[in-house]
Amino acid sequence: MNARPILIASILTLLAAPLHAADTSDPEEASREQIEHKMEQAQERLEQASREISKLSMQLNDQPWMGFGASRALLGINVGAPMSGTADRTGGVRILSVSPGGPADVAGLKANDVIVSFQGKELRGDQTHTPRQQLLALMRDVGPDAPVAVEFQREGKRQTTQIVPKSLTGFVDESLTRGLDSLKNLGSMMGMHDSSGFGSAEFLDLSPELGRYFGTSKGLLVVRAPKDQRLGLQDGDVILDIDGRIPTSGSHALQILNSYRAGETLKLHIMRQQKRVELPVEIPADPDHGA
Amino acid sequence: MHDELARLNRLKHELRQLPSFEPPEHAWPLIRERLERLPNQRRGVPRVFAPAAVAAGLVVALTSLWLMHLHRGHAGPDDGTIQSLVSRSQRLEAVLNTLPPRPTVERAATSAAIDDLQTRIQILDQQLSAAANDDRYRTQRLWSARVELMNSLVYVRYAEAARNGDRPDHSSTIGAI
Repeated sequence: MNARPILIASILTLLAAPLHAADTSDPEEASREQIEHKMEQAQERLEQASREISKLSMQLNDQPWMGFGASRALLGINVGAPMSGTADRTGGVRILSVSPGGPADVAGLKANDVIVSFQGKELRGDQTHTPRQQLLALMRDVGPDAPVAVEFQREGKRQTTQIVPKSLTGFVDESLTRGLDSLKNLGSMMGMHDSSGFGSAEFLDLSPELGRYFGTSKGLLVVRAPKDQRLGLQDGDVILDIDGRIPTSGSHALQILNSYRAGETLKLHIMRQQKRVELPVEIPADPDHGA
Repeated sequence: MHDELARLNRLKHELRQLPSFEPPEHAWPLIRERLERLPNQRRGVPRVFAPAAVAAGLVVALTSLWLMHLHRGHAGPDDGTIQSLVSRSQRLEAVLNTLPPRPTVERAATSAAIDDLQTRIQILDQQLSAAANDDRYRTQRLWSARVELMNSLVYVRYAEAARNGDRPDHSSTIGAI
């Protein structure tokens, strides 16, 4: 199963869309809105391609998931199986990859950094354990949200940082315990299929300062309402909760909304012009037609 | 079942009751001598089956060769294959690090796509960390999946950055309200 052609085709289409728009140099024909519309369409195609890649890539991996261990805390680094002849004999553990957006990435660690101490314990190896085995054992004792001190070497220089491990919560955590097979459906579980028609919306997480203008200290500001007007959202609305569930990001809001089936109803609580409003929403059966 | 057990027990008992018996001397040479006196075709493989036996041998030999070829074709990944995937993954990580940070204003579908890819990569990294040193097939599969996901993530993040850079900065607009 080769996913690459799908991606390449999507990228070519993505590139072709703005080029085509640029060809129509007459400002009357090629308005900024038209270009933006084409960009948006191209982006939708790219997102679709990434979903395909995402699913197909996980299908390459058919081994059962063995779990995180007791803590289920993620550091977002891979120190896995060294190639023969490249084991760190002088101590320390080389990072082979850093998960993008993960705790180690946020802490500034990069691939090829060498972790020399973890929680104050030097990783030198001993008679029975390699430095990697020592690190993996220490990582098992780490709990979510408890910062860990890490000393590492980059280009010969020793540096320190703190990583705040995080735990995968809710359905993701649950799907992991059930085995990787269930991850093939992670896309739909995470709201990747935009069944709610909400995907085109743009959001900003409200800061307390900005919230003063909208009459609430927290919420999700709708910068651009979804194309599907049947959801009843308008630019400038602030989403407070979706049937009692508080979204932490646009992605999370999409995930919540897509957990409903077409035809199901829910109550969307928003702030509109500094007033709390309840919007009854029916998840459309054909989200694209409401645009 | 019960009857059968009873029958076998009875048989065992009867056999134990038989008197001890010593074979007659020179019995085996006598048997061999009688067998040699029998016509040839009754002792060995009939001549008519000889070509079939050769053909069967050939089939076995060819099948063995084919299986050996198949086995060679699916030889286990060597360090070079995995190392090449690791290098590609690291190059993609470096490209990702050169992209601007995620925008403050996020399009829901894009943000969900990025979150999904990142979550999957984290899971793969966790698995790669825990992978046994000697399971090279599994290690290669995991690295292949990681490279595909990283590739996809780079494209989506790039498109997001390009799109955002092409449009007015909504966050500054809102900040100016």
